[in-house]
Amino acid sequence: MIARRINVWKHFSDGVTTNNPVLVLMLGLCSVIAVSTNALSALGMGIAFTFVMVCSNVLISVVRNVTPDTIRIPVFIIIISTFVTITDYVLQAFMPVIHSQLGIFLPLIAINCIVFGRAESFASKNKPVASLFDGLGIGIGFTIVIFLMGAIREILGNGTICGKMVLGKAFAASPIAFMILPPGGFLVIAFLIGMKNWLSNKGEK
Amino acid sequence: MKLKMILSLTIVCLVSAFSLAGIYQITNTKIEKDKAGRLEFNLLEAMFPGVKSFLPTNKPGFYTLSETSGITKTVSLKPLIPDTVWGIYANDNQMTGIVFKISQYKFGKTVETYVALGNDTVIKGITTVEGLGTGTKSNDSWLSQFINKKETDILLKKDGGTIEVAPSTAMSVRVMINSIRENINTYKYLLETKQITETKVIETSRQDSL
Repeated sequence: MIARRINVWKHFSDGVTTNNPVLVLMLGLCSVIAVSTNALSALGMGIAFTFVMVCSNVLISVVRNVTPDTIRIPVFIIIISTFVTITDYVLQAFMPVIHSQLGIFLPLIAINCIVFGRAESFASKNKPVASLFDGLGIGIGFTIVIFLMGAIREILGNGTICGKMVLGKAFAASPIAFMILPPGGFLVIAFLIGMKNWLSNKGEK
Repeated sequence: MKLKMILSLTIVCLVSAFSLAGIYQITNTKIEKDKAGRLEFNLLEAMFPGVKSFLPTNKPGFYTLSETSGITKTVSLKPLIPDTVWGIYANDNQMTGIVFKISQYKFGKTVETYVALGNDTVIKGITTVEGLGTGTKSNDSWLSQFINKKETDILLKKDGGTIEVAPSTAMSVRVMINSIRENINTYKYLLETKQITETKVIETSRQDSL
């Protein structure tokens, strides 16, 4: 029982740290850079992504034994697309502002290589509980990174955080606009990867 | 084996279809209602860019505008061409101008731009509903260069006009500019030929001809 708990915790923590989809696996960077122009839309993307990741991982794991190997890819695609469409409708109905900020990158979760990669490499080979914690870990790891990126880029590029001014009117009048453009996204992601590696190396020593 | 494959895929597809149908039933009414509300907001925001709030009155199509200075006034919206051109009227039925919509379909989404023209055919305001996830802040400042411009000024700088290219690739600026110019010219023609008058609500027969 204890071993099982440790295993489940490992699946979760791996997704956040050693298998972090953005900082370690470096997957799905297109939507990360495009959506992380402000903290709120980054958080919205993170939550939507986590929902799709967890639900699709669990369902793929549940049907893994009854799905013939030859048709597993179409089945994964249908399951992932269904959850993405559900997320799209729900956000459009109840959080239209976030939905409009995420725009095309919300439906594009359906072809996000992180979701598909975990479905193929983990959920299709493991039990539902392990897949749930793997999806949760990956989703939360993704959300933390994209939110941090959104916060840093919004503070430096707009002088605000979640729309609230933090660096004063003088800074907001002439912010580092470069930070909300794609090169700013690459710069912040490089900084976060560097920080993560530095912390990992420090921990190993 | 083949039967198992067919069965598996059929069941997955059916479950997916039923789930999506259920979610659609739950969310569709709210999505449609929000869309209608957002359309009216976009139209009014285009015509009155500095206004603090727009509140619907008990009378359908009528809104109370609150300006930042504290002044409030009532205006009404009337579609002139369904889903394309709307007339904006002051409370005394005097026409304030028109708002027209330009749509561009890109990356599977529609980019909608609402352009407000005063009776002098000068652009009073412009808003864009992107839905492409490229952010709106940069667009707001970019769109502001259209305000108070006449049809002759609306050309790209490289074509001898005053408009700079867009900071994002979410829309084709040239297509947008051409559509704006075309719409202004049509409006000018309708004003010149008195098919629309500045002081009169458009009659039903004239609405058809616009």
